[in-house]
Amino acid sequence: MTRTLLRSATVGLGVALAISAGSSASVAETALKNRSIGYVMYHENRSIYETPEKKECPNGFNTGPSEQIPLWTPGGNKTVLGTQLDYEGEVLFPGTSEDRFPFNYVTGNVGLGLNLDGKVGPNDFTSPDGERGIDNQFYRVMGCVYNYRHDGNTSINFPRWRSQFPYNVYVIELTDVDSLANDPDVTVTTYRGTDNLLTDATGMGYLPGGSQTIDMRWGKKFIQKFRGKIVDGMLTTEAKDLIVPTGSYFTARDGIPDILYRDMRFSLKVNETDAVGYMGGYVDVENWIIHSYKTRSTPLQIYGQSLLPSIYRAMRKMADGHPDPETGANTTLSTALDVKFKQVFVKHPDDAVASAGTNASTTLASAGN
Amino acid sequence: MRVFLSAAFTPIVMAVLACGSAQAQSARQTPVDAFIPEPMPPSVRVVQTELDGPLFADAAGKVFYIWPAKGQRVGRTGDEMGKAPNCEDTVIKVSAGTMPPYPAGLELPEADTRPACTQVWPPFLAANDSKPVGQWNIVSRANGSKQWTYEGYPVYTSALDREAAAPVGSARIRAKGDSGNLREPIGPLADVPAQFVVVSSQTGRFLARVDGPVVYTSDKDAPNKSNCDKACLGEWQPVLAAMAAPQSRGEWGVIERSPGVRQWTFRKMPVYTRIADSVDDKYRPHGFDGSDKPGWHIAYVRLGPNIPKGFSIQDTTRGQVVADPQGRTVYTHACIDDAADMQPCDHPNQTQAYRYAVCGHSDPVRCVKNFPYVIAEKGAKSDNKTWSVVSIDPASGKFAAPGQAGALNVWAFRDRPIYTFIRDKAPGDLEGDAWGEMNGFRNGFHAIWMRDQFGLFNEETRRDQ
Repeated sequence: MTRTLLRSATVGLGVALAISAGSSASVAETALKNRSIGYVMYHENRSIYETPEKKECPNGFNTGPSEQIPLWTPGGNKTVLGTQLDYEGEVLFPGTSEDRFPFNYVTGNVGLGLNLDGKVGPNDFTSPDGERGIDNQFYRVMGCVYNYRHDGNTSINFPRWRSQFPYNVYVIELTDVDSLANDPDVTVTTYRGTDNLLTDATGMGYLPGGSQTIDMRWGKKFIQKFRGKIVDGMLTTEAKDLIVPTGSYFTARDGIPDILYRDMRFSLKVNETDAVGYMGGYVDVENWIIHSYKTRSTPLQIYGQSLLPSIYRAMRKMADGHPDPETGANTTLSTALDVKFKQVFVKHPDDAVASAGTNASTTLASAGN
Repeated sequence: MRVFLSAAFTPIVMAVLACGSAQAQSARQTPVDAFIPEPMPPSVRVVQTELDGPLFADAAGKVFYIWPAKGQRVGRTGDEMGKAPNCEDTVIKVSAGTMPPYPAGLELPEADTRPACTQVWPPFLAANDSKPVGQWNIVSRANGSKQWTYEGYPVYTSALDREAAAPVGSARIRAKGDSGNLREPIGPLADVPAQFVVVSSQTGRFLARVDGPVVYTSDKDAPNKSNCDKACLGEWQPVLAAMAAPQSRGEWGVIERSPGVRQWTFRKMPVYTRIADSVDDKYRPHGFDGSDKPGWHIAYVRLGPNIPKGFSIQDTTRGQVVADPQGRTVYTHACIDDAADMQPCDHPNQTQAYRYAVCGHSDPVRCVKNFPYVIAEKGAKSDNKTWSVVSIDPASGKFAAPGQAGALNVWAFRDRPIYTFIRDKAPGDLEGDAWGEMNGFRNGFHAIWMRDQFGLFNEETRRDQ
């Protein structure tokens, strides 16, 4: 009954308001049902450690296209071919030659994220809490690119894209759960959801108790299963490759810029209403640079001073995972995401509906045949 | 005025008829867009086009375009309403700097052979004794000649249009804010009640409610009779007609569901929207999800052209795209240059410098390797004007001369070659989509979308009412 009431809340803000005031207790009693609980992601950002004095960037921030494109051709080429088209071609097909511009990396050893390899290496970070061995070379590269800092354009937009763009609705479902406090063996399955997130009266905050219907028609690519455990409310999982739907407002109609993470794993504090923590793994450099370009083309990279050809070279230089079997060069960069989820009731389309969808697709397709 | 089904469309209709669709039966009877006739200059006529619906054209069937001024990221291009045309006879050789951070004044590719705006977009000239009629008026060009205008904008044809009723100079299903300022084909208003619009898509031109949701019909209904019961009404919403609506108008009619409750019919079939299609969802205003429900069909005014034989439609994470006979997603290249007259740069008759930049870092050999042409089998041909087989010189990327050695016969969409992408490994892969400048819209590649789950039809598609 409670679940029914909560679902109905999605249809009216007024009803949502009325229920939200006392919803936490109700959800807490019912969220874990049939040994399962779902969560939908409402916040995602790169794990970037910043100090007020910007001590981590003693040489300042990197410059972007506006500053560097006038210097793109040392001889002062005045053609579209030698400037615009050469730069855009370089972004799409970046080279590995020495960067013609200096690049400012994060210095120091304080950073956020997870210890992905179980080791403490010379390039690893130590968290502000003292945890050693944190692997986050993405931060090493991006920490001095304004776009990725907390007040940078990408950092502001990423959480919005995650929570508001239907392509990005990201759901995890925990199954085989006996207790959200301690359970030595649970399964975490990732999905794309199809429903809008349940918001509070401001429209900017998110509430537990919504529902998410799983996208089994278009979203199969995003389904992945992880074995995990819960210890004192902390969920950790094994590492697996994962494709995360990550479109932006600019790509709602423009392309598919999903991000491929290698050896991704979850580290989340879970309870009946929330799951908060890190997802950590490795970004594929080639995939990521194209994702960045498709998400934010050159006129938009200006806003955050992102010079992608330089970033690509820096990523390649600092890559610390998944060596190419032929060249031995690392192809991925360790990274961590700050993520927040709210509890949702997961609805799995039944076989009949899924089947009907497939058949109907054929019918529509045949309209063009 | 009604134009009946062309032979090219017969296979589509027959295929759908085989499914027993009542909607398709009515589509067969009146398979093209109805429009509201309006006063026109004597040499203007209306032609039915495969993807863009009814358009104005000259006596030879060449479609007319306008170029309304629009703001760019920097500056503004196009014709201002009621003002003299900005598409002129002079050749522009440097960039306008509309797309930061690239400055104005850069020499354009192949500047020495770049045509004047009017060579690409010939003005639709008016005789000295021509008189304004309806929305058509006359403006003086800088050289003293007279040019027709429509709704205040100077009218042009396109030098790229090689066939009657086949507008390839520009299309309604391509535009987006950062595409540059595309020319727009112009046509009469669709003959639909005020609650409806006609939306162009690759699958055809379909009806939507003016506030967004797609319009459907049901196999359970009979002509002029709704069988949508209480359970049905929980998911589907009849599109109701006002009491003042006429009982019948052209292809449109009204039935009375219950006393005083009147529902629109299109080609005799009652029409509905899907309740789950939100009117305020800006990302999915024209979702096709209702067509996944058995027995329910999108209300097409006309179906789109056949894709080439052997091609297929593939599911992706975002919808459905056209794929070649090997199941690989196919892409088109779209490009508008950065000159003040914003000429297209995506056609084999034009410079290939822009395409080469984004498909191979300006290396034509690398380009062909990354984005190979889709080779047409010997004797392959299309049954419509949207798809065709063209002969390409792979060394230059331009149309080959007749009988030219080494020329390739390749498939083309709207007279432009299509490509696959080397990074696509499996059916449904889309790595080449949005590849290029401004998400591929200004100069880049896009898949050919048959169904987009996340808003393709939002801003790109002009809706006719």
